[in-house]
Amino acid sequence: MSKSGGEEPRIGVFVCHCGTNIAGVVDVKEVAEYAKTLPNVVYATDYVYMCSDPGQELIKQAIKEHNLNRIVVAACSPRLHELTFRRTVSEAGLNPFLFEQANIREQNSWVHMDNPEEATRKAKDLVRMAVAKARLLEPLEPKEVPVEPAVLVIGGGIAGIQASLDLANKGIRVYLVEKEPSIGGNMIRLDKTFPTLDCSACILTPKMVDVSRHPNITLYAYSEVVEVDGYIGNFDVKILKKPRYVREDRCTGCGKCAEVCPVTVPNEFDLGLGPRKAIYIPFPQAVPAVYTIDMDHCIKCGLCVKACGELEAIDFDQKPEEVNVKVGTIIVATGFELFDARQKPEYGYGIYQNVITSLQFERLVNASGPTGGQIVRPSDGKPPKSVAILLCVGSRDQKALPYCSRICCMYSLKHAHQIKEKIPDAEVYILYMDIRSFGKGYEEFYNRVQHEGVKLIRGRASEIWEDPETKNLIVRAEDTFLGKPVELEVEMVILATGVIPNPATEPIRKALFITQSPDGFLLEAHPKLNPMSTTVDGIYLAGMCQGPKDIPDTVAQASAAASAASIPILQGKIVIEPIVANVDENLCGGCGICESVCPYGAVTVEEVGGKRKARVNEAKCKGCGSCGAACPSGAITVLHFKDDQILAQVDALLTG
Amino acid sequence: MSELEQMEEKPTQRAVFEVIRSSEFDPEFAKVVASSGADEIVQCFQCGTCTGSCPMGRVSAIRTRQIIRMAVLGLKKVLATDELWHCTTCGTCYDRCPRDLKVTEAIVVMRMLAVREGHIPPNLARIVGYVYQYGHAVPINEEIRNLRKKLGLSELPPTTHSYPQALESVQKAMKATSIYETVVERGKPDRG
Amino acid sequence: MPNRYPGIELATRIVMKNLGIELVDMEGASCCPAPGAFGPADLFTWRVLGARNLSIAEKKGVDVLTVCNGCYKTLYEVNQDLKSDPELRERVNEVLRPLGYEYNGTIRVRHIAEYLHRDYGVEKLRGAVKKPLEGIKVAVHYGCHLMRPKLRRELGDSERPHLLEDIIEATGAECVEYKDMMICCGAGGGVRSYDLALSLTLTHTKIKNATEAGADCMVNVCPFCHLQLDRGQAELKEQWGVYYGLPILHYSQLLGLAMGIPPKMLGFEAHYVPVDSFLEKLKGII
Ligand SMILES: Cc1cc2nc3c(=O)[nH]c(=O)nc-3n(C[C@H](O)[C@H](O)[C@H](O)COP(=O)(O)OP(=O)(O)OC[C@H]3O[C@@H](n4cnc5c(N)ncnc54)[C@H](O)[C@@H]3O)c2cc1C
Ligand code: SF4
Ligand code: SF4
Repeated sequence: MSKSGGEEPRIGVFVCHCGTNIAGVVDVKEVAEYAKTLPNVVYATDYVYMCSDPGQELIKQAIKEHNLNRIVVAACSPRLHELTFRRTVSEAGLNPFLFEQANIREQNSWVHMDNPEEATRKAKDLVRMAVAKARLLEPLEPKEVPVEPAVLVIGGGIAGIQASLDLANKGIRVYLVEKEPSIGGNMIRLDKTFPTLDCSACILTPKMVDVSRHPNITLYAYSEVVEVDGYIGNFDVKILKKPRYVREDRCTGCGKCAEVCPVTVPNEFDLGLGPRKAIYIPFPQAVPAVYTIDMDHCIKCGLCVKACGELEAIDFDQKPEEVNVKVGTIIVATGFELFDARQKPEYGYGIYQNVITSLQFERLVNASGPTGGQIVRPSDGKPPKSVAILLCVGSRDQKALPYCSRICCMYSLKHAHQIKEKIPDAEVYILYMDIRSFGKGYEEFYNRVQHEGVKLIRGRASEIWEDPETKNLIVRAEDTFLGKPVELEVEMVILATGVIPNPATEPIRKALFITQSPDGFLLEAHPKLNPMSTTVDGIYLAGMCQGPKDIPDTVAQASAAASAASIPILQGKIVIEPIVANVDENLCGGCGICESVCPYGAVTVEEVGGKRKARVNEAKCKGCGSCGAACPSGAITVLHFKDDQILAQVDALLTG
Repeated sequence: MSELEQMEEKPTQRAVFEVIRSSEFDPEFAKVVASSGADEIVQCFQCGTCTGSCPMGRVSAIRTRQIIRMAVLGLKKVLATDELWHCTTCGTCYDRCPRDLKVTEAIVVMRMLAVREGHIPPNLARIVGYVYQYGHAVPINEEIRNLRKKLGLSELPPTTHSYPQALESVQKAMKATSIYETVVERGKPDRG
Repeated sequence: MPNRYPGIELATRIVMKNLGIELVDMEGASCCPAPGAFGPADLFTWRVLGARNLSIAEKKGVDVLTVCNGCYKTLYEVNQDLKSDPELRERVNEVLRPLGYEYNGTIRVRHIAEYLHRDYGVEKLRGAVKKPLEGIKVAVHYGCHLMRPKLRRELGDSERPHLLEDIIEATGAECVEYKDMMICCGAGGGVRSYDLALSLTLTHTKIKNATEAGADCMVNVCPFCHLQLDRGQAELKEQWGVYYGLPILHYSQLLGLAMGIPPKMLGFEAHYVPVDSFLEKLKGII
């Protein structure tokens, strides 16, 4: 199809000005003139914007006129325009991999602004190196693989629910895996949602029901993903269904069993504020509406079996069940957990009864919560007449979480409003460093809460003391506007605790070979242009697992992830970059070092004709070259970055 | 005393309001404070955790956050304030600062810079003088000598009190550093 | 300590002997020198004199053990600074070498409380107690510089520590919680000598809160805190006309009592607040 290697290289060099980005520092004409002196270069020129249409046209024309078969563009980083120029050369009839880009902007003109002469010299070095490699470039052919038309969604919070429904509505099969007995995530714990104060359950439960009814969604609740193998288009997933000891196909959710169960333990769904039985449903609207036995506490008295009667749904002998599914793409939506406020002992959480977390408050104020929506303090069950809300507990703290948790300012304003609504004469204080009310309608909500008489004190709380008799709390801080220490005696304290990735994300992250950013949240492919993808093809992110965000942002990202995850499936096949590792089986000794260093699980050592040889899964390989560098016998090379190509560059650098 | 406190104390008297002008900012000062051991105080985001934690701040006019603020802006007049010497170096602010700043060390460093500028509290000069003269900030007295004897301890402890040569080395060491000129000399009783 | 409360020195010597721990004197040591009262005069000199003291122990090949938080702060932090900064160490040694001293960074600095807790062990300590001080309520005073700044120690959390509680409870006594337990005695940082009245305000808070919580005595691990809490009560009586009479004991003294050492040998004469009433309470025990 296209001109290829083998023939004598005829190289064209194109030096870009990038306006003044490059030309303002580097003498581009001199670089182009210099390029003409290099071996095999038959044509060289410069142009103001190589990436523009006329710039690309220039390249195509030169290829035709000068019969060029290798192209070097000296411009910006290949991360930006390598694909552009590959397409350009391909349009002119060359194999797109007979192109090499020299980065004379990010790695030169931008960093050596003060030293134009040296920068020009460095540009020449970089061009010489690129030309040396171009001489040895080989044509490569991309591969195509078919795509399994199904998606795995991990995590059934609002992010996973939204993504699943979007995909299912497009006609794509979805396997939704949730580790807890019900879907709903943290949002189903909330009472009202800022800034519009709609009831969280009222807007979420319809979606949960849709999930359970949708013909395209298979829900695996109380299940975990234990193994993932394969690559974009073809992932093999092993799901473990944990035993509920209640048969999903028989349980009607009538609840007779829980009525008779004699064992009562704190309900983790209510964060310890309310009780549940050993056989339980975490909350009334749970999906699926199936009971679960907590075997750590069950005494096997059998009363529930009797109560269930003819339905015979209870099965003490249920075993874990393994399910295997095949999917083309995966969305991770494993959400968050609160930072453990015990790590800030100065606030006395876990020691002082009346110091609670924000999520506990959501359960307290929730009509379906343990107090039926009455705000009462834990020590005596009385409505508090004064409450202090402490912002940034754990967040924006180099000693805990360096990042801003993004939601606490707004939910705390909401909490202040809710207290004022239910206990109008209560004094409510919010201790804050900054109020970050950045979203649509958020500043207005802030204003409204101030209007309701909530007192905002600008200062981060320093410590809390409990009066042992009254169980009241004395909160110390500085009112930084007055420049004076303040002591507030209040009957209850709410800690606006920051958020961390759900710890159950970690095994998933490892199984999928995706990475995390320094804050521990999952890393997106690009912070601005691709926030819903990972760096692994075919794996996408939705919701809090990627970083702190509120519900509107979570839903937006979930829909974006669903859209991105559906693209390969709708295309039906995917093209795989041919820049992958390549094993010379004659040299490979089967030592397996490559397997241990590969960050993507793309190399495995297998038996080939009785001998152990490394095998590369081209769809998984990202061409990072870790294996090539580690291989003691030089058996693995990465195509397009072969040893001789790289050494030629090094030689060119040293012999300039 | 802060303006507000002045107002509170003498409600009839109007506080003097002053404008802080950028010409008072000494960029070198902030750098000197940082490089003398206070490190990254420019990262202070004025949360007030330090002031709220400060046990002294509840009984004196010391406002830890404001001391740091003045240093960050380069307001050198912080060195002349009385409050700078109210810190007990308890380290509570240091332990709680969410920006992980060495708050207490910043204060100690500023005290040292104050000393270099000639703001030497008499007690500091006295204590340094004692260390120079006896090797002890708290030298022994007659009463304690007797008690030591009574308890069966050596009359003088086995410190510089018992070893004149050791005391001499302490004095030589102090003479070899700038402390002798800045503090010991000035702190001698005849100089007041 | 030796020049104000020799009883603490004696108590420590006897207690350690009874526990089978050999103490070696650092002949010719000087003041640590005091971190707050001396340090700001010149931090470099502070390090030089601290390093001189450390080098005395280095020569004997033993770790330094202190019964004072101030000495602990100075010697621990100087040791830490000089170990981690070779350039600073060299500058310090340039002063010390001509005087016949050299700091090499070969030893560790230990505080008696932390040593007994971590190395000797709370269980063993309990075993060494002959007269468990049952029924005695102790208000614990950590003093700032044992635990703080926590980033410069390796003793864990400084907000709600239990190190002292553990070794005090090993004597059979009970610890009472009181408001603002972790605040400073008021003396540190040179404040006692800079502005006595100011320093006493914190002392007052502590003593008052501890008394209200029903403490029989307050136990500290620092002679300087000891001075402030003990003599401070006499000063409060004089200046404010308030008096609590809360006996102040160094941990060595408390442990001494629990090990059956006669009170006569613990130097209580030097105390401003008489401990008689407290000893009275112990009558049935010791
Ligand atoms: C106190 C509080 C109040 C809030 N109030 C508001 C508000 O008023 N308005 C607003 O917009 N936002 C609010 N938020 C934010 C809102 O809760 C989040 O934006 C939203 O819940 C994020 O949804 P998610 O699906 O990403 O995560 P989650 O809700 O955490 O859901 C993640 C789900 O994944 C599951 N999971 C995790 N790991 C695995 C695994 N390995 N395998 C299977 N399943 C797994 C979890 O069990 C969970 O069900 C509030 C947050 C808090 C803490
Ligand atoms: S605690 Fe730290 S960040 Fe906060 S005001 Fe004080 S020095 Fe600044
Ligand atoms: S170290 Fe000083 S400024 Fe900081 S809290 Fe203690 S007394 Fe206050």
